[in-house]
Amino acid sequence: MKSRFRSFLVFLLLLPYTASYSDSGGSISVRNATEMYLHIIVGGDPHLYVAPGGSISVSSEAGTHFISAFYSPGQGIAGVADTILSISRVETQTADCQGNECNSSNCSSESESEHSTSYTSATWTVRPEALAGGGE
Amino acid sequence: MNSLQRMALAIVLALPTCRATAQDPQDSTATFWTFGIAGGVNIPTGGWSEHPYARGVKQFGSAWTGSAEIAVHTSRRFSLAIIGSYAPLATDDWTEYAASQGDRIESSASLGMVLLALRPRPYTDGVNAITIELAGGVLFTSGKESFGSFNYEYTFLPGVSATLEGGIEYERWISAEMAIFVRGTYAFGLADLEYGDGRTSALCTAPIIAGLRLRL
Repeated sequence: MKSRFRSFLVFLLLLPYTASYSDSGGSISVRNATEMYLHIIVGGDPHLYVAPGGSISVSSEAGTHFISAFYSPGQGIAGVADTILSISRVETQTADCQGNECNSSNCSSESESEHSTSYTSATWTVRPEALAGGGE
Repeated sequence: MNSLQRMALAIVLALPTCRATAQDPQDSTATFWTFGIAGGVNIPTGGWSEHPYARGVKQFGSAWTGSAEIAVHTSRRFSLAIIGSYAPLATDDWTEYAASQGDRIESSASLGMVLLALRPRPYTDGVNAITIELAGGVLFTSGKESFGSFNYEYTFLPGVSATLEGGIEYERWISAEMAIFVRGTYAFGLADLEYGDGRTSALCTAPIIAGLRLRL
């Protein structure tokens, strides 16, 4: 029971950055909530011409990721916004070999318990206010 | 008679001579090889060449193209060729449009192909020939842009992809060793352009070239 409560606390702490869990790595999503096209650079990788209302999703490893978004050129408007998103690796000890909740009484050794690794995901919604005032 | 008219008359008078001296390169049943070079214009066609939101603006426009080929003529009616070509993609329409909107950008893009072509020849009289070209190979695309402090690659281009090409060629042997040709082809990539949010667009292009072919 304590273990479940601990997992719930971890989830609550990561909630601002968390949309889903994945076993193979985290993901960064950026949504264009403006009425213009955006160029979005995630960790140096450009994602060009993201349409209004469109979004990108990028697989990423744990760590901090620098993201820039700016109005695609030729629209008669300039603006840049930056942010840093974090992807965390979460280790959880979930069950023993009998499929029961793992705790000190039903796990005779460390090897009997199952460990799983998951990664948090992070989403950034780019709004016009964030881009306002930024020059190219 | 001005100089242009004199030149035209000279060409007309020379043609029968060329025909008279040309030998049927396919007279012999022996296999022979040719090397060719050509130049012309590459015309990107379809939605991929249009800018995603600037209406009527070509992001990738027509420009010169160059190609080289080595062909083996296995019979009077068939040859096999390996072709390499390169074509820059004109971006001036797009950069000028961006400038008109107050954004100074610099942009460049290009396209290249390496093809293996099958060339059946449905018509030949020994001097003139009509050839069909059916080819497959690899298409290379690349592009980059700088805008303010940002420099980025055109990652929406497919990069390296498979391609198929078809076309028709008129060839005229002006001597036993040399031919001139004009060829129009249409090629499409098997991988699409893919923009940041998943929208896609098929890549098609139509090179029209004229060139010279030498018997090796």
